[in-house]
Amino acid sequence: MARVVVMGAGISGHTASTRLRSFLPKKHEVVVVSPNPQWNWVPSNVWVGVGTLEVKDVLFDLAPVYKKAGIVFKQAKVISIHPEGDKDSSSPYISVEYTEAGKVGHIEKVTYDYLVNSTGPKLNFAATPGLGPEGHSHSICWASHAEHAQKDFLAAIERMKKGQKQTFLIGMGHGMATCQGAAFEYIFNVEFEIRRRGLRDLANIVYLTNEYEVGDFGMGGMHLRRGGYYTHSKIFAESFYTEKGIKMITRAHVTKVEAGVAHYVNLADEEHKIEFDFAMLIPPFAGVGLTAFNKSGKEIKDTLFAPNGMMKVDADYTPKAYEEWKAADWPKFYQNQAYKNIFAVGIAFAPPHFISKPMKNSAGTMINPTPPRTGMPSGVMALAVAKTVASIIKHGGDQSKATFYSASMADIGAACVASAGKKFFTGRAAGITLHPIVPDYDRYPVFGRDPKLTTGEIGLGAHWIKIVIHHMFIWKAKLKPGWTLLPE
Amino acid sequence: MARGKKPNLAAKEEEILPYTQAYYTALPTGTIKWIRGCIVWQLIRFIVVNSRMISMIGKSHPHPHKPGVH
Repeated sequence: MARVVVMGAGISGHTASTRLRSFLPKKHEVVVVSPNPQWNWVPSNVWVGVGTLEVKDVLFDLAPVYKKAGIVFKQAKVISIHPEGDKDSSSPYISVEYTEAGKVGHIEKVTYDYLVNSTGPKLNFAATPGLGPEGHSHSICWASHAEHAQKDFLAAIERMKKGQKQTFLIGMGHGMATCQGAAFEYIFNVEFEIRRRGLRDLANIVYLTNEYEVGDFGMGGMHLRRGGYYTHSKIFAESFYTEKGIKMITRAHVTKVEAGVAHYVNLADEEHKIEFDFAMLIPPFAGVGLTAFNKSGKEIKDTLFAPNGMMKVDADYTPKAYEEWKAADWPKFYQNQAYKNIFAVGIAFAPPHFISKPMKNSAGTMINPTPPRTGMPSGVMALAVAKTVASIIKHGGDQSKATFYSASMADIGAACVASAGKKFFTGRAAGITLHPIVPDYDRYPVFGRDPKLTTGEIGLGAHWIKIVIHHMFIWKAKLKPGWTLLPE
Repeated sequence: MARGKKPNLAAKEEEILPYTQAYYTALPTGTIKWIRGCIVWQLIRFIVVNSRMISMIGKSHPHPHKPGVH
């Protein structure tokens, strides 16, 4: 009997645990450790943040789903990893602290044969003073944040109904934040909700980003085949912002957020501030703060984790100049190289470098997005790791006989559907596909991506896809009939 | 935008001023904006974009590697 422990129950963790359960005979055990009792379909938090969905529409309880599936669920947060066991036992284990009511604070050792790290990110609001729901801005990264944002957004709407002008500042709260797609989607939903209420003239809507140009999305942007041209996504995004009357501030690092004022510096070393009535600024991500110890109790954090707290896997972490970056630098199997029974997927794995070109101002402040690895890519990585671990277990733990499944970000694509208004007939969305996520200039000279699979368009059809995706993935996550047939 | 027929462009056209960022970008014509909401055409695009996504998802499926190759 083998035990696989999955740390985290977000998109990648839930995918890994449920797929493992479906691949492995019942004699093997799948354990999920997550501090959160509920699963959140994060992409629809955008709609919660403007009040077109309620928070209950994007959450469900994990315990009954896991019980039905035969997955052991421990509502706890992971404190440390002990890949060699300790002085009493050689069995590897993780140390967890329960967050479940009635067991809060209880510490337990959870032994494992295979460990999948899918903890997701720590939202590092502390990187920018005043950033975040406990400061002076909002976030939509968690459902509870989106609910908080909704309340203040609707309050701003009420002020506009009384004739007051409002400034909405939406974008990135730090020079190295990622998830530009979420901010892109949120700002167009904000604009849509204001416009449909006939209040657009009272709203000043501003997009503030660390991207060199809008449409970079942390991936260096992409060239889309449209109208007989290969057009950079800058044109695509800039056109949409301009059409909707949204102002753009690019190449910016937010240094401080105060009540109603955001301060930022840009790549040209200019310091500015902008006043706002409502701000939603995405924080930078960091590792969740795990540590690790060897058998003798010595901390081996550097063996398992990169300095940002993300887990090291089979990537090439040799520091290189942008011009020397290769698709092959990116991990294929998401396997830690020091402890080969540990894997990391989704935001939890440490990328070898950025995808967008690194930029800094003369003061040395880095102002460029970090690589996005949420949503579809994190699900595909989790599926690959689940298949690999299942194969290893089926071969009695002999990795040399097992089939390994690769899902390098330089080999997989992504579908991004960013809605711009939720109404069924008047909503719109930008539907973008790209392949691969990390440009591979050896396979695809000039643009680094497959021109046939890298496309984008705006319309009602893409909006319907977003609605289908919302319902389809919640259905799948609840393990309802046919869920194994649905793609990641 | 002062002379001739005013194109149906932006939500806040008065902010598209010469020598500003907004002035230099591509903007959709009224026809394109109408097409984006045309039910019949968008039903076709729904199928086309879905097909394209399925094709991309097919290429993004995890690739198996023979034992010992990884």
